[in-house]
Amino acid sequence: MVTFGERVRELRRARKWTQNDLADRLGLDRTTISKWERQGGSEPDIATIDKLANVFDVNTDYLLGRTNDPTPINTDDLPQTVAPYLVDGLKELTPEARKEVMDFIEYVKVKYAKKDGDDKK
Amino acid sequence: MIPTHFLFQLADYEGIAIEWRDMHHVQGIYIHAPGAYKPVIALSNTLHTQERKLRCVLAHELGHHFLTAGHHAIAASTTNRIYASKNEHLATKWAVNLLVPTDVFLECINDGMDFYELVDYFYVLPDWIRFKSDLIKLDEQHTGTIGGS
Repeated sequence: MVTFGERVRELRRARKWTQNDLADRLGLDRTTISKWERQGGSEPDIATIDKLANVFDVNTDYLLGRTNDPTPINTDDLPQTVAPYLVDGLKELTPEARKEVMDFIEYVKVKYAKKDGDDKK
Repeated sequence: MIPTHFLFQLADYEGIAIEWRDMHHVQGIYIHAPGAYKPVIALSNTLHTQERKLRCVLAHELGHHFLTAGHHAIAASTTNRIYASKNEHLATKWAVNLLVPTDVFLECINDGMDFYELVDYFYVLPDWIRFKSDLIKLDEQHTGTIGGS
């Protein structure tokens, strides 16, 4: 069975990240990563395991070496990129999503509207 | 795999502005009104720590840019589905073909890569590998190979 430390190292190396790169993404110190990856090293708390799963886009069992299937469990949070052709039209957005889109349109109008022309010179 | 920074370079080259936004119900938006303002892609700040998803969302929004080619367009990818005024399927298809080129994909399958190795190799969401196999309509033998997880 793969240990947690081995899994972290394997995932990190697959992404060509240094221990520093990973530490930065987690807001931790490099030495913490190094301790995890060392044989018989320390282990993170649950909140950090959760963050790791997000950073690597894997499920937590995979991190802990309990499964070899890395597919993230929380599929609600994944874009269902295979099903988009089932729906059509912004009116189908949830009210919250529609508001975010509308806010962005307003933002773009203000920020970018005049920048296309050079009439401000 | 196509490096993630390549996607940003492509956007830059195309004159598309990237805006990181504090969005929780939408992951990506492509918007363009020719004559009024330049094309802009919005990306949710939540993607900062999820590079794999970021790649898929950004490539998808770039797909809208290339497919709408200078016409009015607005498209939004939400957290659970992707919505748009039109051509949603085509944008995903465009994006999948960018991140998972057919020749490389077939080479990997011939090399015996399994499903999750492909997912990691191209560094995309698992659904995208499934979609890619649908796209190129693998024959029975190949389907058996990559579907056998």
